[in-house]
Amino acid sequence: MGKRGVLVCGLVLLVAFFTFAAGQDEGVWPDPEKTITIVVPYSAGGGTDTAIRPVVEEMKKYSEAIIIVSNISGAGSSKGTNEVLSLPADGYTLLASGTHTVSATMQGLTDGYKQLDGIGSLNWDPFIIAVLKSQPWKSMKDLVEDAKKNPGKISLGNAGMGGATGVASVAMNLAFGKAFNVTPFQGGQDLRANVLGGHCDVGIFSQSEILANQDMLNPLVILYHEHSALDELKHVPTLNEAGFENLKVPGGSFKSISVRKGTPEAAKKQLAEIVKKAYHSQAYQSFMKEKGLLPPPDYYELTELDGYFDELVGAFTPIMKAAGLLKE
Amino acid sequence: MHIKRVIPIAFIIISLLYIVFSFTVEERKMIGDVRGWDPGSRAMPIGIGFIMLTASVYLTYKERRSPGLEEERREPSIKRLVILTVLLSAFYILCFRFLGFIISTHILLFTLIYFNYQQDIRWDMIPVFSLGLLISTCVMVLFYSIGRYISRYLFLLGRKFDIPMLKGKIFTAGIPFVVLLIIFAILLLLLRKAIKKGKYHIPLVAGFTAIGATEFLFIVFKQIFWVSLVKGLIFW
Amino acid sequence: METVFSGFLQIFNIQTVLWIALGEILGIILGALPGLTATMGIALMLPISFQLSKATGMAMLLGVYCGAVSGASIPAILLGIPGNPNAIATIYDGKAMTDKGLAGQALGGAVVASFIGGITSLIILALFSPIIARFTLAFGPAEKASLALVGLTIIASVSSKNLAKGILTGTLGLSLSLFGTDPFSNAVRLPFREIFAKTPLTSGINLIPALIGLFGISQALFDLQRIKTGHIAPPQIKIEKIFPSFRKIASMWRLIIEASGIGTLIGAIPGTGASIAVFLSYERAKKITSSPRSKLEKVGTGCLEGVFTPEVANNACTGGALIPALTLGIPGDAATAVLLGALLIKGVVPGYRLFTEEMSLVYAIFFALLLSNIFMLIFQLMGVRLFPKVLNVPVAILLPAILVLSLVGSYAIQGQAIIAATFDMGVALGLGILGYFLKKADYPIAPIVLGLILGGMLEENFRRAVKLAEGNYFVFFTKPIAIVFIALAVFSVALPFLKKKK
Repeated sequence: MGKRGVLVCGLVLLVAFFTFAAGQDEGVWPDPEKTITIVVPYSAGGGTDTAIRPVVEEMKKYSEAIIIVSNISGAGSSKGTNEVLSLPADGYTLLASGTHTVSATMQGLTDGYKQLDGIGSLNWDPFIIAVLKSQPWKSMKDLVEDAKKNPGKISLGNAGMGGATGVASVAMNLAFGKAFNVTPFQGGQDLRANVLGGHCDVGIFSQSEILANQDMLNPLVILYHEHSALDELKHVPTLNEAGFENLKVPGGSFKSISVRKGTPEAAKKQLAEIVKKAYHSQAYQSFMKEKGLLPPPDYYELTELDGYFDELVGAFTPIMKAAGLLKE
Repeated sequence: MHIKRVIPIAFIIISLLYIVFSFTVEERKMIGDVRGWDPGSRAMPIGIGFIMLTASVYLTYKERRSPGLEEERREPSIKRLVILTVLLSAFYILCFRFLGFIISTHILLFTLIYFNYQQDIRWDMIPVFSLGLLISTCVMVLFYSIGRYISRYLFLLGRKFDIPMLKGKIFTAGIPFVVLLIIFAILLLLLRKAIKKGKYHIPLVAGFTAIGATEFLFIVFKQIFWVSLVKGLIFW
Repeated sequence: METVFSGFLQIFNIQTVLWIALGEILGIILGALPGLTATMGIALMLPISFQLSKATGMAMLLGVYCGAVSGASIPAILLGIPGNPNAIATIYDGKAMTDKGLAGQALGGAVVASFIGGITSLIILALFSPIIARFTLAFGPAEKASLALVGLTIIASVSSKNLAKGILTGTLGLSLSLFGTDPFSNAVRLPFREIFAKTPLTSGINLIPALIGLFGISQALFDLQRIKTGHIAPPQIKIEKIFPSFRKIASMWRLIIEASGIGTLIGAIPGTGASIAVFLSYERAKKITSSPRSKLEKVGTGCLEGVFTPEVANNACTGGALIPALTLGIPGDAATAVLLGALLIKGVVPGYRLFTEEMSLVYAIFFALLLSNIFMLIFQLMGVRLFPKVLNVPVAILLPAILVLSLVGSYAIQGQAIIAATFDMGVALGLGILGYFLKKADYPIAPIVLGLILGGMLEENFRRAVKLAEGNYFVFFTKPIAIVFIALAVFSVALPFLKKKK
């Protein structure tokens, strides 16, 4: 052995030294060297992604650790959610949660909100029902009457059955006596192209999608209890004003930030502080105004957000049940 | 049997299994859809399964008739190398989370390069190979630790005195990279004769390539792109 | 104009230019290594591009693409072995020129030809794709489903001499694409679904690991058989007189125009690729130069014309193949399929919206392609003596390196999600082994890729079309555009039989 043995021993010693030297200074949260990952369960460039990224930019300013966004899309929003649930509850992995989490959980695709703790609420993006300007229906009343006269003849498209537009369109259809032919499309872009091309009659959109095609689309009704915050869309009537007082539809997508249950309280508190500061920052507030994103009734953090989620679940349950979506 | 005859038969089995599978697909009605009209979840898989079956039956029939497909004359040593590569890759994937990126990647690269150079796998190669792998792994860990130590130190320094430059990627990844490159070059220079020829030519080439490539991949993916490459056994 | 400028800025910044340069050099090296295809080069660089911004990532991949297509001519000319299928028609005259001692002229001519081909096809791409994109609003579910069918049948019919083999691998790709969850009901669509629910399998087989496996790992396994033969060192030839004279180029105007046209057109037909374009243009060049009135040297005798024509054509394919990819979401060839995969995973959906709201990205892609071609010209001419040295890399090191890069790359795509990422490595390895056996038995790989990419488009739009038509399965025969596509699909399947009868 001789020389070779000495060489091996020396190497082992050196390794041990570096282990010791590099291994100290652990145990504080956040470890500044670790990255905090915010999992967005949709692909980059989508509605959830564009709403989350600006707040992350602000969060970076208040965080010691590096923060990055990771898009893990697939199977509604359940793939990204399941990924967060499979990683250790150490506060380094956050989830862009919201109404999509609620509907994915109810469909039994993930343990979702049952295994999540709230960190901070963000905002609502209300949905708008729109048709091509060249279509004969000029108001929601016209449309519904026509649909009831010819059940199944008018197609109502959504951006995918698993997501919030899917649930909203199903809920609407149930409320109108199943008069529409509800058809899912492959995401918002596909739906828009099909409505613009006249292949699908009615579509359910977010505000920014309507804005991008104002010259071709005629917005009929906003599925929210108040008017749009955008000047261009202020005139769109709410469901109440359109003459459907008793209609209860989850008419928008809500976004928030959550972590896995069991995350240390100290970490959660610090994260909540960061999200709160980022949410209230000038930059994010003006971003919300510009995009017409509406704040929830109050700013919720930690257990307050859990409570708000319970409210949402309560509102979704009857609809999901009626639609045959609920899996228990 | 020649592979050209095996493949279509294998595909007959695959497509039959696929057809069986497609009939077991849960035919759930489209969510909230009372109208129906959706061809359903099974339509496509069943259709595709049958087309695949037709094509594979036809090909089986055709290859059966085609004469002159002699038994391929493939060197058994190459077959062994292919099997080694496949098995080792599977091992790599299975042990990735336990061993960590650095160790598992290093083992994979060292082993493959070593045996590829030998152009065969024989029992009498194992002793030199194992010792080489052991030494090379130790050097790898040492190498990694140096880089890791430098970037951690730089980072903590930058944070303590609030120097944003030292917290940035260019420095935390760039400086260790340069330092390691210099060490690597010195080692290469010192051992250049042994690497070029001689008894330990092959393990040295394998070791150097494996260490260099592993550390390079680590710096690119982990330190520049923040991919969470698993630490595994090397917890620091 | 604003969008043009913004697209310009997305490419002409230091970071992006450096990435393109890096991609270009890597591409040339990969292209020059026999056996490593352009598709594989792009697939291996995907994980890196994924970490960059949309425009930068795309630009780097285009650099790899252009580099690999033109780099393939190096071993074709020096050794008579095509670096990849793009250069299979370059070997005849290229090798003959080397034997005559004209290697320098041949290499230089090939580079200039690649540049001309690339730029011409870029111009055609920039002119026609916005027009086609505007037209895509007329494409509803019925049209899209039949379009996907056309793409699949064409590739099944042209990718192999045997139609049944193409159909078999095409349906294999389709069948793989259907695993996961049902797109409409979100029901888990997997065998043993009770066990696999809530695993990464529920979102199906991810495209990029699949591509890396099919093109990277399978090649690394397949090329192990070259380990005994070792590498063939290029002959020691003086490389001089690289740049062909303008007079010579000008005299070949007709060849250049025809080859660019053939290259772009063939490239634009979904499923066909450069290997067809180079042969077609080479045959045309043979005809033109052998006519008694032609003053050009006869192609086939080892002359610049015979190198120039196929090299113009193969680089013209790059721009052509992007036309259907950007406007319709149907890749022109396997390499563009991978490029398209890179776009899709970044959330870019080809079609109308890309050309209206994200026009700046489209311009960025055009500028990136332009810059890639310029870099290709510069680097290849500068490195004309250097790049052939790549051929000295020992196979014993190269193959493990490709394997590891494939595995780590598949992991990096979902680099934050450890479990899904490890699973992706498994997907890559599994498909790599599958691809290895298929390659050994001489089955085409490209239809699998198209099946994987178009499977979702085909199924969803088929079901959507029937649903929108209130359950009428004959809706595909009521729309004129769809009828045309279906006729094309039938024709492409019938083509091999028609040929036989002749």
